[in-house]
Amino acid sequence: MAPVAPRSGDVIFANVERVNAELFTLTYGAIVRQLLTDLEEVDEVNKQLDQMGYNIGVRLIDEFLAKSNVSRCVDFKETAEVIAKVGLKMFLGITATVTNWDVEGTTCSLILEDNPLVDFVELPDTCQGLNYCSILSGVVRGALEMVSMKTEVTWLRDMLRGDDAFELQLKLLKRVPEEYPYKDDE
Amino acid sequence: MYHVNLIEQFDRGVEEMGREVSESCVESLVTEIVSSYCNGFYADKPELAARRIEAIGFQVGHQLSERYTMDRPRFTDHLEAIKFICKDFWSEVFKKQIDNLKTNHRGTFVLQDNRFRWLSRMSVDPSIETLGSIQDPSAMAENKAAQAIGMHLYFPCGIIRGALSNLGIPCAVSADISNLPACSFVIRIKA
Repeated sequence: MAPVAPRSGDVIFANVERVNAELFTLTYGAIVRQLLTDLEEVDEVNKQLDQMGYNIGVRLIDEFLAKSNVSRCVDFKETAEVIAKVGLKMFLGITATVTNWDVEGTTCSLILEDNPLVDFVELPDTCQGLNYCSILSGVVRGALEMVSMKTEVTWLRDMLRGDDAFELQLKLLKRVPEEYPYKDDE
Repeated sequence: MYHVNLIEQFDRGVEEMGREVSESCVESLVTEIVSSYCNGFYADKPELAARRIEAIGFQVGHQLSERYTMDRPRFTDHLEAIKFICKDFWSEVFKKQIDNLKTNHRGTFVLQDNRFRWLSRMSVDPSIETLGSIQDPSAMAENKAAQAIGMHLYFPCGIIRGALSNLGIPCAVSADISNLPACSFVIRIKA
């Protein structure tokens, strides 16, 4: 029988190399700021952040699988729980609540209880339309693609835009048959 | 060059850490900065890519230095500020202190980290060891691996320059990897 997936990433997080979150938060902020200067268009920045996240997700899935001992999830519900309780915890030290399932069990939302990406961040009026956390949706999409799930990952609510929570929607588009992982650049 | 003793006192360092994230998160961001700027928008212009990567580091160093010095008195001279970078600042960012500090007492400081964290996980091509200083990005163009490492180092160089700039010390910072896995950062304070 397959080992049961861990219900929480607390132990893993306690055992990985950690750094102070300010370095991470400020580095991300500096990247966004530089991209806004270089790319000018907010939409282009959103796209670039999403692409960077995707590339990170494609790489981080290996570390996740190696350290978490998570085996194949039985369904997308379990996948979402593992992301919310183990994946987010292991890398960002946070967890999320999974909610808003559709009847097919292919779409749900993660409500983040906390979000280290946005500490000290306030968006100026000139940045309306910026999806500041695009990198995180990209990471989830990239990581899931490496384990054969094509998904659409979208921020539905964003506290930087005045919403009352951070809500990340995961929509399973299709399961792709197992094949040698390739890098999908475009 | 004169050696400066860094082990005279242990101020902070052991202080309670606030919020933390996995080190992979920071490494992933640094990797993506380098690849986005070097392979993406500035693929043919390594000098411009280098300048952007350094600018991102500068921003980070400037803000970190601001936060880490909020509760302390102003530094009385350059050496005090550099010691702060070697000890407190380095400990916060890299979880260890600089191993060796030298100065010519005329505005040049060499900070050596015997095992620089951000290079320790990169596979290093032995041919790079002959490369020495990585001041000139165009000279590295023919050696992809050297260029990748060189580009990675613009980020911490920018962090140091930003941190010192916040302390009112304008300077130029370069990295020297002729003694891998040690990495030296050379700070030249502008008169």
